[in-house]
Amino acid sequence: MKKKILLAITSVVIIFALGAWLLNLLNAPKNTKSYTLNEIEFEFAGPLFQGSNPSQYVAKIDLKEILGDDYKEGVKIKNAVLKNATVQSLDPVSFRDINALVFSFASDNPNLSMQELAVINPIKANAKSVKLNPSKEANVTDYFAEKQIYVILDASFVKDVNANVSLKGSFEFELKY
Amino acid sequence: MKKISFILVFSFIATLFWSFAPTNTGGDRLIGVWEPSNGRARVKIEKIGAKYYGKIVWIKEPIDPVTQKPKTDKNNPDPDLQKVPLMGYRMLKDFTYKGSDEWADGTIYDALNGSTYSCVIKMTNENTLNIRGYIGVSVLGRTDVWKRLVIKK
Repeated sequence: MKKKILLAITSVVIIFALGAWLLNLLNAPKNTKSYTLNEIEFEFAGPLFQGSNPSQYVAKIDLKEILGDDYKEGVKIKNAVLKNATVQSLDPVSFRDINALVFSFASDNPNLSMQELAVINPIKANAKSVKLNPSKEANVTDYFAEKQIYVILDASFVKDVNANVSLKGSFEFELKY
Repeated sequence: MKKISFILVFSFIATLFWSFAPTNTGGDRLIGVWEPSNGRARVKIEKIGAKYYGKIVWIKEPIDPVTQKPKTDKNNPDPDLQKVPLMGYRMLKDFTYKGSDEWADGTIYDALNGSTYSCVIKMTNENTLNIRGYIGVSVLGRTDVWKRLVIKK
């Protein structure tokens, strides 16, 4: 009797596990695409005070444009992670005054929290272009379901700068859909 | 006559609704530099889009005694983000104004242990905030009183 009950329970567990595995398999993303927010300009309007100063860019998220020919009605991004983040100085001396950069996403959606995505600290003073270290844990899938998002670059200035500073960034994401 | 009555009633309801609706202007009173009760840091609250965020702009002890370098977020649970400078770190995130001097739906980050808590902010007067961090329900939490750095007259 005990054996029968145990067998029945085991069978039910196996059936559920198989069902979950199949469901997972059906929902698994089939396609991968690289998408780059390319050459985004960040203006830091002076006077800039020593410490962290933010600059933001409003990015429109249009899956039709992002996926191009692969776009189909109702398609959703199932996984999105930052792969590369590069920031270059438009003024050759500006990294002399900046010792760290933090790249983040934010949104007006109350269910979506601000997410830091990459950082570089410290920055070599003579650098003209820097690669930020992307977080492997940060996931921005939900941001790609928004219509617009805020792309934020925080620059840590080592001293007060009485001028405007311009940086240009390119951010490559791996999208699965 | 009916038309006039309808317009009057509609205007009255609209005025009533408008006067109770939360306004962005009210929410922006949160913007400024604030000091927690321990006096060890100062936090600048600013707005990005429709939400409010607070970043650390001053630390009493900015240098890490071990590395002798500016402190970073070394307790961040994400190892890739442990090099984010503590100066400039957004410890208050994603607050929306709910009306009645209250901002909610946000989080507060404790850099000392790398933990993030749900948080609600209540302005008791123009220069004082009750910041309540909690886990799960607001009853299970702790309130700290923050003072505005530049006192408004």
